[in-house]
Amino acid sequence: MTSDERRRTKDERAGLAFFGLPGKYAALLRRAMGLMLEYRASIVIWMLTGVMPLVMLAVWYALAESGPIGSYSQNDFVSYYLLLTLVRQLTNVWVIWELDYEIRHGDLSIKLLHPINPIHEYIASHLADKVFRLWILIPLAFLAWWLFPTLHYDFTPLTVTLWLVAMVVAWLLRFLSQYCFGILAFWISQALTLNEMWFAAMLMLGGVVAPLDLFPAPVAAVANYLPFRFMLSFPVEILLGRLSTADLMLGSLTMLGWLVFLVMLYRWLWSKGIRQFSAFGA
Amino acid sequence: MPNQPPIYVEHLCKYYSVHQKEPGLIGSIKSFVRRRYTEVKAVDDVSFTIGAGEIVGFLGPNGAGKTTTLKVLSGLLYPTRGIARVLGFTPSERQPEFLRQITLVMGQKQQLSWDLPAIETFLVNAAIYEIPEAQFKQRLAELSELLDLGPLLKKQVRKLSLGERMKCELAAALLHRPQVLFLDEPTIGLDVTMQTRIRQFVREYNERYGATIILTSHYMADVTALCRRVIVIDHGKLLYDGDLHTLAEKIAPHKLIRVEFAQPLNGQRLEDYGEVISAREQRAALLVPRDATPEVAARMLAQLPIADVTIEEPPIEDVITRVFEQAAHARAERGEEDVDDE
Amino acid sequence: MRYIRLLVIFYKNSLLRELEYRVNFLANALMSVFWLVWGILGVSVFFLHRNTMGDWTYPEVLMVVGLFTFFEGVIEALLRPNVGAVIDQIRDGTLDFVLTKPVNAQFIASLRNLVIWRLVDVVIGLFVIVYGLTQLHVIPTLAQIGFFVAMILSALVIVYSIWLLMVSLAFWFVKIDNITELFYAFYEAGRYPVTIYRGAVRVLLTFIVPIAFITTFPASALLGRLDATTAGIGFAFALGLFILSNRFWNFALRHYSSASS
Repeated sequence: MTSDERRRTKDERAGLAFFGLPGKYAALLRRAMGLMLEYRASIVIWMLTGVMPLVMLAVWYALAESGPIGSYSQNDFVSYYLLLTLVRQLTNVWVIWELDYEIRHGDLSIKLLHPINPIHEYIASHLADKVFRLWILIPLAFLAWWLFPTLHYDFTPLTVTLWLVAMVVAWLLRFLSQYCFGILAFWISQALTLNEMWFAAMLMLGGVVAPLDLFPAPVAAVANYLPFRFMLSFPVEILLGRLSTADLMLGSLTMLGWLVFLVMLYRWLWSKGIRQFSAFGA
Repeated sequence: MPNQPPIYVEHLCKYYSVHQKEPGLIGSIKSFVRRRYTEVKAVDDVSFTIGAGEIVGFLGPNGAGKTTTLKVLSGLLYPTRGIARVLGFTPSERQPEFLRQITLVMGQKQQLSWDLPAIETFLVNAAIYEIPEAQFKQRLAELSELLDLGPLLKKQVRKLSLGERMKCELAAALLHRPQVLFLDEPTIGLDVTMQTRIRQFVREYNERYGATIILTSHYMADVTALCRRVIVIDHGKLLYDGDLHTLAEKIAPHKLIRVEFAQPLNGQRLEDYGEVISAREQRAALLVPRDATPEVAARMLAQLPIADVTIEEPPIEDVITRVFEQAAHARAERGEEDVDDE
Repeated sequence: MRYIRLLVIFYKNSLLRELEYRVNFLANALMSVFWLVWGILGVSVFFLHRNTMGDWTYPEVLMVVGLFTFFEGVIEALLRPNVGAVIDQIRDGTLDFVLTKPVNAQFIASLRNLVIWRLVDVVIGLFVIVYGLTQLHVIPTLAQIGFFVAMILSALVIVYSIWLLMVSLAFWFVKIDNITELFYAFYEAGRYPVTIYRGAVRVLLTFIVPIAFITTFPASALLGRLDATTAGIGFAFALGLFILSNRFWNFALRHYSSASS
């Protein structure tokens, strides 16, 4: 094989080759949408389970009755948490359960016989789910906008563009980190447990339990550079308009840094994981 | 590359470490505290070559190593030792070029989406294998005709019967017209009509496209119908590789003489002619050494009141069973432990 | 009694199964402690900025956190592996095996499995409750402890009945096999005393999805804030819910047996 062919197959194996990929995604998406329609009832229930931000809103709102907490008044909390709910709904990821199941039950073998990296099928089904959720969330967003006149966001071309990018990256960060934990299932039986800890860290340091600047200053300072912030909090911070341009730029750079890191980690883990799977298979 | 045989295996070995546990509560607690591992030789020094267009049957009891060998050949497992080459590729490298030319059908695992009609998975496979639309339509038509798929394609897979599902699985696995097919228990759990149908299909596919096929099956009928050549594997070892009927001749150097009597025997003893397998009022069956068969048959016809006689090969099942019995006997003599491979 | 012997066999099998996965034990114990610490940290963030949450001080809120963990343990050890598993069995068709056994279906479905290691949550939850009390330098009176136990029992019955109701729904709607996840979503609100919520939300969490009965009222009992009337309502509510869920379960079962193919 020529070195070009070698590179192409290496990329194909990691799922990063782009030849013919749009066509394959069209087909994968079409099937995924069909499946989502079959499961629309359970999707709605899954959406209902993502209500922790609303619970936190109820608590902070009550606590802020006697006055603002930090720089957040009651209305600020409403703006923060409603947007956070939307962000959480649109960045949700569940791939680790599928990956863990398929690895431990040997169902992954079937996917490995196809000349396409399994990750694409998972991505396609997540995309289809997002499309479905948008159908529900966009009307709800408008409803919320109408119900709460005090909602206040900073909509400019820059912030909105940045927000869209940050949303995509937020989903990628959540997906790739879950996927990497899932790949660990090739070696250990407790991949789900590790992911659970990661998830708990995300809830705490990603801005669900509290807006990050309500943490003690040293904690908040560290949290600003951890990946969790960019999974949930950063998109919210962008539209809340509390970040200076310098902060926005620094945040964006950190966000992209984490993305690059996770992509490389995924590639490395996957090649090791496949090797492990082929040693024992199922 | 064109001159290489499509499937080449040399001194293939696949070993696993499995942890042993004694039954019961004490055993559970013991294994909780300390794990004991033993090595299982799923495939132990197996070598064979398969030429283009051959249909070869893998025979062996459960856990013999048949499925493991197929998984190595399809790239799902890599060998502990030895060489495996399919179409010139090393399967465990799982190159897309390689994967596009093979298929592995496992009777108990399915690739069709459970909640959608089969056609949806076909469309996805067409995209994944980069099959142009015109070719896809043509192949789908051919497969539908060969397998009689028709109305099945639009029904939800979960609503299909086991046989219908198997047909759709086969179609999904063959849309990309692979040159090499690995069929692992493709007829398991199906009723007799469906088994025959699938067998016919495999033969047609082989004849039309010259595909090289390895088939494993519990059902001798599958193997006798499709395979001229069989490879017998037991406990990871290759026991026999060659013609099916030659196997019968080597292992079971007997033929079966079935007779029907015109009138009850008058004091004659059947045992004088050969080993009596069954004897009822009007009918009997005897095993007779192969070479002696014509002579014994002539004697019986002359001396006994025979209304009808047929001379048959012994059932292949018995032949195979005898092969395994001999192998087990040999293992016992060598003092090898009989470890359960599952 | 036959049922007691059955219970012993069930739980011995559960233990055998659990021992197969020794890493599971460590992981589960670790996660129990982990989530408890997480819960306490979360509550601490509130107290960085305020001295009370809905009239409850920090140690008092800790008791609610303890109860939250306590019941989480009960749910994971007893409810989800049993009542929750019924949903999978409906989907796989294996429920028929349960139904054709000559033992009461609800009994088997409810009590067959015990995920022993999750009882760690029950234990550490109790520890936190006791810790909260010591921080307050409060020793509950006998009456208060009695109310506490009564509320715990009511809460257990309520949680069980809710799960039974949810699962019974799955008999009709096979596609909503994640319905039990809804419970966890509402249960999250139980991390904090119900008095923090205002208006409609508090009504919702007290009567419609009675989380208040589960994590708040037992704590109130120990703190002497629970009057007999509320305790009585709690009892009656639990009883009523139990009867309702049992009726609904049987109704659903009848529907299932007549419809399954």
